[in-house]
Amino acid sequence: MSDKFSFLYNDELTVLKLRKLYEDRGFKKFRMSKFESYDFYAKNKDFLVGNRIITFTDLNGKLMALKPDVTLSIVKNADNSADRQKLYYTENVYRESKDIHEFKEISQVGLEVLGEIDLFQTVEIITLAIKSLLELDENAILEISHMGYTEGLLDCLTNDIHLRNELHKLFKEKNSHDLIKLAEENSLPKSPVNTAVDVMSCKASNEETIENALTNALNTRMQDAVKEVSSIFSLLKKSCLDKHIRIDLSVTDDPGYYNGILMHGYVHSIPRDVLSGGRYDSLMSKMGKDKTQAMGFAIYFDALDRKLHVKNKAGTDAVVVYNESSDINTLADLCNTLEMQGISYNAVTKMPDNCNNSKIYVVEGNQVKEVTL
Amino acid sequence: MISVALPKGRLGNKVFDIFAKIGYDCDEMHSDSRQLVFTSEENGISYFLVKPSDVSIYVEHGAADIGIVGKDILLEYEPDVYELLDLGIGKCRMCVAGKNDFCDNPDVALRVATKFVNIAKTYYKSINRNIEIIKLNGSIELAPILDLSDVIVDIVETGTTLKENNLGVLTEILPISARLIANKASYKFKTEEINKIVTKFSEELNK
Repeated sequence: MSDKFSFLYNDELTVLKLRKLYEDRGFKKFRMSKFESYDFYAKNKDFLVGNRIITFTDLNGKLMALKPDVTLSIVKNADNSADRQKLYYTENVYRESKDIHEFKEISQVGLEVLGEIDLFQTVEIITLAIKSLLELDENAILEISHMGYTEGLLDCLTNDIHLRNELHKLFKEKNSHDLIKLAEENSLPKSPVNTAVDVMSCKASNEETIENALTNALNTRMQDAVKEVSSIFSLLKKSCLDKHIRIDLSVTDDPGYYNGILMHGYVHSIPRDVLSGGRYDSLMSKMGKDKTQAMGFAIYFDALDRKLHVKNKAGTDAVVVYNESSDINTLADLCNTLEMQGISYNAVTKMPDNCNNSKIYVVEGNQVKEVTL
Repeated sequence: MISVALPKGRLGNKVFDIFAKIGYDCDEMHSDSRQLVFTSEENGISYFLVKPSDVSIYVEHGAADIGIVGKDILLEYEPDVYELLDLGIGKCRMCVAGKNDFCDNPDVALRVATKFVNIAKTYYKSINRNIEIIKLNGSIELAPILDLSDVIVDIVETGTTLKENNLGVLTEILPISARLIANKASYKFKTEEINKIVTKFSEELNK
């Protein structure tokens, strides 16, 4: 964007760039109300990040909540059909902060596609996720995984729900030592344990990861997952976006909500993921929309605040200093001239301490003097 | 450059010796200076020593790429980090301890003194025992002696302090050892370097 927008903070500018990116691919802006019925979130608490929700009683005595999530509201309003809806949003959500034990307002930008999700659509969403990250950092990384792979692997290990939950946690931590210990204690089969340890290690390139995962796939669920990841990777290679991809098939999430592809985006100097999303047909089913497939992602601007909440340009191009003795016509003429020349200015009555390299014009009587600090 | 948060004290010194052996030595660490950050440009590593319970905070927030921390801290604070290696050193046990003649009365809430509130809550929840937590920051062994609590949940290394105070281990909750952790974002950008450290560390420990 041009210098015309240099007055904007980088986060504001980034949101505009992202909106353009999504609008150019046919996504429509989704607007939602600030409040939802508490009951709606209470039923889907597991999907939310954190358990706490800000609630209040509305004038009819109904318990309402300040929205902690956007995806749920979009899903609620979706038709139960295969007709594709491509939506994006820029919204604020209200969540508890683990660090400060207080609620905080988080600015989120994201997109959701509801309806039929074919391979092309999946690649389009992933491409938009990468391009969104590149607006934040040219060396950004999008980590791609597939729920089918980890769930298929867990199918080979155990059907015990508690044990599966433990294994999920260990996958998330890349904790292979405790996974081996847990497997020994519970006499889990060795071959899937070795596969799990191998995928957690992240020692191979993307191509090798796909090849190894295909060789080590122990059931059709795992095979199908790797084949999908492989097809996506090949298509991303065509658009030269593969260098921003890291395939890590050990990354997992709640299978009650996610099936298919999972995504997590990282940018330099931010210690956690700034983008997350994936395929969530399971959530759609849970909400009674069995016919609808869905995939999307969100970017969390709270993590990016420190990196982005800066201006490209501090202050105005010029400072105009005047006082009681200044001739009003001379002052008005100067300001008009500056405006006509496209020079931004700040008219003040006191000489500034710091002018951020702005030119300073002092109006004394009917004279204009340019001074330097 | 990889930044490492080490726990101050015996464990930190022991771990640094291993780092030095596997090619990540740092001359500045051997001097008696009052420096807070020690860097070795040639080995591409920088160290800083922090309170053991703060190591996971530095790593989770990305101030350090990796760190060495006890499993007790990871279980207590549940930081969102990768746990890449069990070092098998700094071994001890998380235990329930109490007076040698302690007899549990299941009809009343058990008073548990501890600084590991999360670990104690999780453990007693797993055995469906109603408890009342008394959070202390040190000298936990005093609590049952002065009848502030019925039992304590704490780390036991040799058990000597317990014995000398007429206390004993009632139940072992879990074994504890030092772990190598990594910041999730750092791991994405420095996968190769961090994996190299983990592999070398693991090889050295298995010698």
